[in-house]
Formats: sequence, C-alpha cells, structure tokens
Amino acid sequence: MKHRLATALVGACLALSTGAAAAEFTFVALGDMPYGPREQAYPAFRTLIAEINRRAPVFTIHLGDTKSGVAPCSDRLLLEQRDLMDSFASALVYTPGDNEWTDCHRLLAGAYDPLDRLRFIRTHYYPTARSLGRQPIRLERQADVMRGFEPFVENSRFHRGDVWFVTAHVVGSNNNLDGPPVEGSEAAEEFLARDEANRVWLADSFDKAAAAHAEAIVVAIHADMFGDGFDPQRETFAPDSGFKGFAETLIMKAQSFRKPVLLLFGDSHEFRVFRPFPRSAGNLTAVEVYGAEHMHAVAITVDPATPPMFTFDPVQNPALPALLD
Amino acid sequence: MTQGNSQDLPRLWEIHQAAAWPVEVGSREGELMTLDTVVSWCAAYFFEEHHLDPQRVTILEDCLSDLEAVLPELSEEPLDYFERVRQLGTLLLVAGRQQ
Repeated sequence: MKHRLATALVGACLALSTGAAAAEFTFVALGDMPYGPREQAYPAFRTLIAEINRRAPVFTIHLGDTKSGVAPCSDRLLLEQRDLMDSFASALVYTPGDNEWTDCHRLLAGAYDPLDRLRFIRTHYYPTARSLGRQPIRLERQADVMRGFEPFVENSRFHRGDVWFVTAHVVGSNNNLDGPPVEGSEAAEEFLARDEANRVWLADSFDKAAAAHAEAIVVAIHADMFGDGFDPQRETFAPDSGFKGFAETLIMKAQSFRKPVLLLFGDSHEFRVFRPFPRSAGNLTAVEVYGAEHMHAVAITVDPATPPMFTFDPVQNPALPALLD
Repeated sequence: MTQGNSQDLPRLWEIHQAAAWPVEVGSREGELMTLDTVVSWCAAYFFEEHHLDPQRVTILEDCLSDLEAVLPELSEEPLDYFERVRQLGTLLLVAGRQQ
C-alpha cells in the first residue's frame, strides 16, 4: 500500500551518508523567511520551528533568503538568522539566497558590498563540513573535494539510503547576473566562477549518484528559474538568463539519470508542484515552497521502495492563518 | 469506473492512494512517476480546499495532455493504473472548475 498522504514522521535518526536499506523518511523544506520587524517575524518563525521540531523530520532544508531584501545586511542580523537555524532540533541544511548578499548593495539594506556579505556568510554559516541545527549532519562539500573550487563551502551533498541530496548556490535576482558579464567586473567574475562551480558540482553529483545506483536525487537551490528568461513551451532559457547554464546541466543530467529528480526552490513564495521540463526531462518534479507571507513549510515524505516516491504535505504555521496557496 | 463523474472522485482518490505501483512500467517510469506525483498533489489540494486555482488547472491540463500521449505505449498493468490517473485528473478538472 502506498502512503501518499502519510503524516507519521520518522524520528530524527540522523544516520545519513549510509547505505542503509530503503526506508520511508520525511524531511522539511522552507525558504524566504523570516521577513519583517524582529518583534513580529521572529516569534512567528519560532512558532513554525517549534511545529517542525514537534514533527521531528530527519532534517530540514532552508532554501535561502533568510531576510527581506530591504532589511539591513548587518552582521547582527545575519548572525541572528544563523542562530534561528541552529534552533532546529535536527539538522538544518542551508543554501543561500539573494537577499542575504547579492541585494545588500541597496540603500535600505545598508549599502553593503555584496561580496563582503558573501564572505561573511561563508565564514559564519559554513565553518565546517557539518550542517546547522542541534543535531548537525556531516556534509560533503565542493570546497573540500574538488580542487579549484575551494571557496564554495556552501555547495554540499549527502545521502540518506539511496536518495541523494545536493545543494547548489543558485540565487534569485537572476543569479547575480546583471546584464552581460563585463570583463573585470567583480560581480561578473563572481557570477562566472559560481556558475561554473554549480554546474560542475551538479554534474559530478549526478554522476556519483548514478554510479552508486541512487534511486532519486533531490537538488536544492534558492532561485525560481522559471520566471523571466524561461520559455516554458520550448523549455529553454534566454541567453541573458543567469540560470541558463545551470538549468541546461540539470536537464541533461536528469535526462541521463532517468530516475526521479526533485528540484526544490523558493524565491517566489508560492507553494506549487509542477513539471518544468515535461519534454526534455519528464522525470523532474519541481517544488517551490511557501515564503514569508504565509510562513509555512513543506514536509516531503520519501519512500524509495514505493513509487512515485515523493509526497508533499504543508506544515502550517500555527501562528499564521492556514492558507494552502 | 470508466467514465465517472465528480461524485466518484473521493472513491477514485481512495482507490488510487491504496493502489500499488505497477511492476512493468518500462523505460518511461521516471516520467510517469512525475505525472502521478503532480496529479496527486492537485488531488490532495482539491480535497483540502474544494477547488483548484487557475495555476493548478493549467498544471493538471498539461499533465493530462502528456499522459494521453504516453498511455498507448503502456502494457495492461500500468495502463490500468495510469488510466485511473487520467480519470482522476479529468474529474478533478471538471470538479475544480465547478467550484
């Protein structure tokens, strides 16, 4: 019997990176929160964290944008967000969004140097090859296993049984590509280096997962790649899309993998489950999580032994109105 | 249950939730899992909210269109399963639009 809407969650057994036999488990994904004044946003976010902790997922993935685009990118605020992530009872795996670094040049965000904020995040969120949260898990990081990609401590992977999880640092705001890359521009160099790192990391992770006979791959990024610059009819990306290279790698690798691929992302704050590439990668399901407006999360149950393998249940925040969309 | 109407939806959904994944799905298994996943997500949403929003209607229409194209390639066992997915999706569209 399938357990399509199963809500009973597996306990927080963090025996990740093992070849354990296929067993159903549930993890949680969320992103684009908390936004707004501390006095309002933090209590509501803590309520959601408490609800997630009560359900005891095996781990949670935060898909980036830990603050609004106009909140100051101060050390204090960024450290507060990290501390909130550390209050998750199990492991918290984090991939950055644009609000916490690329958009920090905005006056309202404090007119910071984005690259300085990126360095700060890498230093304070990724000091070791372990996740955040009160029961951190060990991660394999691109920085540690690929020569030439040492800066990319945020790109990580791990697996639970035969299901592989890969994070890649692909962010909203067109992935920090503001027009055609200009030679010598720091922002352009940053984009080009990170885009290459992401593509190489993704391809390598698919290859390793396939070689290990993985049953499914979950890719977690921040960006909603399916807005401007994406042609859903042709399933192609515009030349000036900051997502083109990464998405083409994803399509190519998903095609050859053939088994289920789940793409998790945030950015546009709308819970939806859809097939972005039905013709070129029909085995890829995309899930966008809620954002700051609803401040809900999504529980994803994975049953490798029982196709179609993934089921999705909203984790509604008791502090906020129960909205499903 | 070959044609059905929207009153059949709860029963059809119940049957589908309990159904085992077909054994001989063939080379398009990944694609069929995705179709099943997305149609099922629309069904879960419908039974929670009692309607489908325009975005889910579009997603469901796309799934059904692609499912129609795959069905002729399936052997008997998976065909039964995915005929039910198709029927579920079709009834969801009808019911969703009526709300």
